[in-house]
Amino acid sequence: MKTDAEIRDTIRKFVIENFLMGDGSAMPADDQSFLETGTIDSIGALELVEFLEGALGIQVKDTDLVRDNLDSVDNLARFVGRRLVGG
Amino acid sequence: MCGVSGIYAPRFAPVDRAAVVRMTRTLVHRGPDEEGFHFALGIGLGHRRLSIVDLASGQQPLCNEDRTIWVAFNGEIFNYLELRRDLVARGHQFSTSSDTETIVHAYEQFGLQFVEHLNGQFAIALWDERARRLLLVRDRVGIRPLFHATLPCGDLLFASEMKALLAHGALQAELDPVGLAQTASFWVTVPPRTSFKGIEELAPGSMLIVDNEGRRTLSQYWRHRFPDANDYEDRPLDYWVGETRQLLHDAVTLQLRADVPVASYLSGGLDSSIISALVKRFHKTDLRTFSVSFADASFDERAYQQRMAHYLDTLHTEIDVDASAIGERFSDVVWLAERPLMRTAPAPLLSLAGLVRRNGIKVVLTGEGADEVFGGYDIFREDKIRRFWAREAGSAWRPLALSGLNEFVRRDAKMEQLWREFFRKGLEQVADPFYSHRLRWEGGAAMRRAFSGELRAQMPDEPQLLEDLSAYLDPDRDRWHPSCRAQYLEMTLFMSCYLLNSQGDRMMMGESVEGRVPFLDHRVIEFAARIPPRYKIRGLNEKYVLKRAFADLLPREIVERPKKPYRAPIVSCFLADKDNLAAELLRRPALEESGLFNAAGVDSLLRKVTNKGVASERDEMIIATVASTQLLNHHYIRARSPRRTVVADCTGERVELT
Repeated sequence: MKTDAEIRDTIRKFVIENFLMGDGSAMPADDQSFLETGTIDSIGALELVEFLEGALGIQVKDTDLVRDNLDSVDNLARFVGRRLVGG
Repeated sequence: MCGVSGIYAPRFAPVDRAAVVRMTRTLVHRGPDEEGFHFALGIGLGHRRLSIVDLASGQQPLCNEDRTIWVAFNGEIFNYLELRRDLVARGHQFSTSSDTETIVHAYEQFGLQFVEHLNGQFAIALWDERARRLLLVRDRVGIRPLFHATLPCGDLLFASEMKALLAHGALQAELDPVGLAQTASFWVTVPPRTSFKGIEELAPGSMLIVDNEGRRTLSQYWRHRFPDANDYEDRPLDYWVGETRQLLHDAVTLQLRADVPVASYLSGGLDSSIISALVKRFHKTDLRTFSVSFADASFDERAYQQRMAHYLDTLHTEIDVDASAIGERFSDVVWLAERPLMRTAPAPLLSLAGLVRRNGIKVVLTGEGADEVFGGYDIFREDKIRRFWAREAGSAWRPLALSGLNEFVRRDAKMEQLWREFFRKGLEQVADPFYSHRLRWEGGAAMRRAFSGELRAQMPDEPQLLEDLSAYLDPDRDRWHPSCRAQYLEMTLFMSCYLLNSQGDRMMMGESVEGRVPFLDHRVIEFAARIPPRYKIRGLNEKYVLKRAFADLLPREIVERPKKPYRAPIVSCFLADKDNLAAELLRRPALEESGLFNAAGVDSLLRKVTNKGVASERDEMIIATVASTQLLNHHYIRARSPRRTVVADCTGERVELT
C-alpha cells in the first residue's frame, strides 16, 4: 500500500515529466488547478486517466471524470487514496 | 507574380550592384521566367519575373515616360484595365499593356494616394528619382510578402523574402527570442517583428517611405473596419445574400484576368467549391481543378473533392500525400516559409503547387479567406457559445452547445465533462479584449518550456507580449460586436501573418505558381464587415450568408456537410523510423548541438508520443515547432548561404544597367 506522500510524489513526477517537459519549477502547488494554470489541456486529461489506470492500477469510470477528482494534486491524491482502499 | 529586391542608399551613396544581383537571384523560384535590374545613384532595384500578364513587354523594373519613376513589383493589379482607361483619359501614355505600368502612372496622377486605386495583391518597390524617395507598399491584407532591414551604414535592404536580405552578406542571421515568444503564444510573429533579429516585415495595408536623408515614414493606408456594435444597417437577409453573390462574382471575374491559363483548387469544402463553380459556370468551360489527398483517411477529403469535380465536370488532378512525403518536404517548406511552423499543413500544399506546375499551369484560384471574412471558424462559434453560457454561468444546459463544436470533443466524448471545465476557464471575463482567443493563446506557456533556458530568459513575459500586441491592433475594436473582434484577431494575426504566406504565397511561389484569393478582394472584405453578425453565423450555422448566396451552384452535400479543418499528420512525419532531415534534427545530439531547446524535455516528449502512438494537439504543435526551428537554424543560421534541395527552372535572363 502506498502512503499519501508516495502517491503525491508519483503524481507530481508524472505531471512534470508528461506535461512540463521535465521543468519542475513550473509545477503548480498541490492545491492549484491543472486547468486554471494551463498545466494540462483536454488530451492531457486523457493521459492522466491512462496514468491512473496504468501506473496506479485504478479503475476510472466515466462518472469519475470530474474536476473534483482530477484537477489538482490534492484532488488526485484524495481520489487515488479512496480507490486504493477500495472506496 | 514575381520576386522583388533591392537596396536604397540615402544621401546619394553608391549601391553595391553585385549584392542586388545576388539578392535577386535567391528569389528565382518566385520568378523563373526573366530577370531585370535598374541601377542609378543611390538605388538598385532587382526583379525576378513569372510572366502572367503581357508576356511580351511586361518586363520589370519598369518606368514612366521620362524615366524618373521606377517600379519593381510582385503581384497583380486586377483592375488594371479600368485604371488604365481612366489614366489614359487623363493624358497618360502607356508603352506596355502590363498591369505594372498602371502603378507608375497612378503614382504620377494621384501621388501617395495611388494605392487606394489599386484592387489587387501586391508588394511594390517604387523609386521616385525626382523626390529621391523610395516607397515600399504592401497589399491590404498581406497576400504578397515584403521585408526590409537597415544596415548600420544607413542602406535599406528590401525583398519579397528574407533569404534575399540575408544574401546581401552584411546581415548576420540570428533568431529573435521575442519573435519566438510571439510564435509560441499567438502562432505568428507580429509585424514588424520576424523570426530574425534586425529584419522587419512591412505590415499589410501599409506604406513605408524613405527619403534622401534616410528618414522613414510608415503609414497605414487601409485597415479592417467594422460598424459599432449597435450601428448595423437595417436591411433584410436577402440584401446581404444578393450583394455577396454579385460582389464575389465580380471578384472572380477580375481575378481570372491573365494571359496564361488559370486553374483552381478544390479542397472538398464550401469555399473552394464556390470559387470553382463560379469559374466553371460563368467563365471557363475547360476549367482544371487540383486537390491534395491524404493516405491517412482521417485527414482525407477526396470523396468530397471528387464529388465536386464530377458535379462541375472539370478536368481534375490530385496528388496523394503521406507522412513520409510530408517529412521529406518539410525541410524545403521551412526554407521557403522562413519561420517556425506549428503545423506540417504547408507541406502538402507545396506538393500540390508542384503538381499544378508540372501540369503547365502558373495561376490558381483558391478559397482562402472565406472562413475569416464570412465567419466560418470554430473559434467564432466557440466565442459565441461561451458568451451565451457566461450570461448564466450556472446553467447546466447552456454549455451543451459545446459538444459537437470541436474535433477533439467529438473524438473524446468520454471527456466531455472535463472539456466543459476547460471552456469554463475565464468564462465570465467577457470584457477581455482577447476573450475569443485567450484559451488558444494559453498554450504558449507549454510551448516555451520546449526552448532552452537561455532563450527563455530573453523572452518577454505574457503581459508584455499582450501589451505589444495591443499596440499593433486597432484601438477602436472594443466598439465592435464581439464576433467582429474575434474575426478581426483571426484575420489580422493568423490569416495575414500565417495562412496567406506559410500556407499560401510561400508554398505556391516555391513551385513558381501564383495563387489568387477572390474572397480577399478588398471590396468583399469591406462588404462582409457590414453584414450583421446574427446573419453571418445564424444560430451556430457558420458562413450562413455565403451558403445562402451560392447554394444553388453546389450539390447539397457540399453546402450542408460539417466543416472540417484542413490538417496534416505531424508526429508520424518525424518519428525515428523516418529518414528525413527534420527527423534527424529532432534527435538528442542535434538538439544539444543547436542549443535552442530543452533537449531532455523534447527528447522525453518524443519518446512519449512514439510509445503511445498518439499525441495531444499541444504536443504535436511543440514537435512541429521544434522541428521547424531546428530546420530554420540549419538553413539560415548555421549555413551562411541559404540552400534548398529543389530549385525551380531558371530560364531567360535580362540584365539592364542604366
